[in-house]
Amino acid sequence: MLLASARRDAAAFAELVSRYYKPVYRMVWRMMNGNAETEDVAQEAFVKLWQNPAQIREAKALKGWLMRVASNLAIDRLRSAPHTDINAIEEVADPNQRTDADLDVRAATGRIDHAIARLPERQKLALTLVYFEGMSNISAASVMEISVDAIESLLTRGRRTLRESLAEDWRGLLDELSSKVG
Amino acid sequence: MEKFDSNQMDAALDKLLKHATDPAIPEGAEARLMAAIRGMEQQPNVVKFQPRPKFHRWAVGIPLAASLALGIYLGSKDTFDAYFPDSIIGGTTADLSDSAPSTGLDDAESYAEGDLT
Repeated sequence: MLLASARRDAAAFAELVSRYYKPVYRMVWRMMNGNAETEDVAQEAFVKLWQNPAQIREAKALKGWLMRVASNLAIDRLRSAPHTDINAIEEVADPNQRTDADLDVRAATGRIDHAIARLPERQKLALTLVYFEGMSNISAASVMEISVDAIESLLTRGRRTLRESLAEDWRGLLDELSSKVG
Repeated sequence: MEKFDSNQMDAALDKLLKHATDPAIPEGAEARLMAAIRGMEQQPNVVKFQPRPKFHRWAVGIPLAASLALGIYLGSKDTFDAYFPDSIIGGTTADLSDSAPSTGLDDAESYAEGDLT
């Protein structure tokens, strides 16, 4: 599939997109705190792959490469025009009518998202790759081009920061989430 | 506020992280990406080879050979010195034609006699 994409086979590339677009999009969304430019950045990562497929020598390295390129693009975009408006998360519309319970859960989820959004970018990226994308520490370290020890350190610091920022109301959050979601 | 130990806090944090937003992929995002890919001009990734202009190595030898021939010709003629300024040729020839080369002995004698002029 990678070889076919390298030969400018759009159908094979579409297969790659369908396989990897979601994790790339989710990671960029998390890094950009739900910003509206998420789709642009995710798209740019795939366009880079299309323009220069020779950068990937092994198919198994493809996901890591895409994640690395997309995360770098997201960080660059944020640095060039910082917009850490986590309220943008509210823009992810829920077309269904919400009950009060839904709203409570949504508010609790929003507070968790907000705490994650406030993490330093490297801690956030490490957490996103390992906790939200289910990557191993080794794979995440490869994406971030750091050692496994370094990513473990980032995860530890990220968790500590989250615990501190949620310390005031996390008991309430847990109660809300467990009672409303079940 | 109720106190938690470290393990409880870790477990609680894991639970909270599971409730973080799972962003929905915008409808048609993949299709828009593929449309952008297909719309891109397919540029060749090989740069066209531009042959270097023809270069005759033997042409370099022409001025060198001419210079050598001129040197031999001028060297064989007695008029060679005429091509150089007197400050170079004159001084050298004067020194060479001096029948009594300066050895410094006269100066040493004068110095011994106290004549330092």
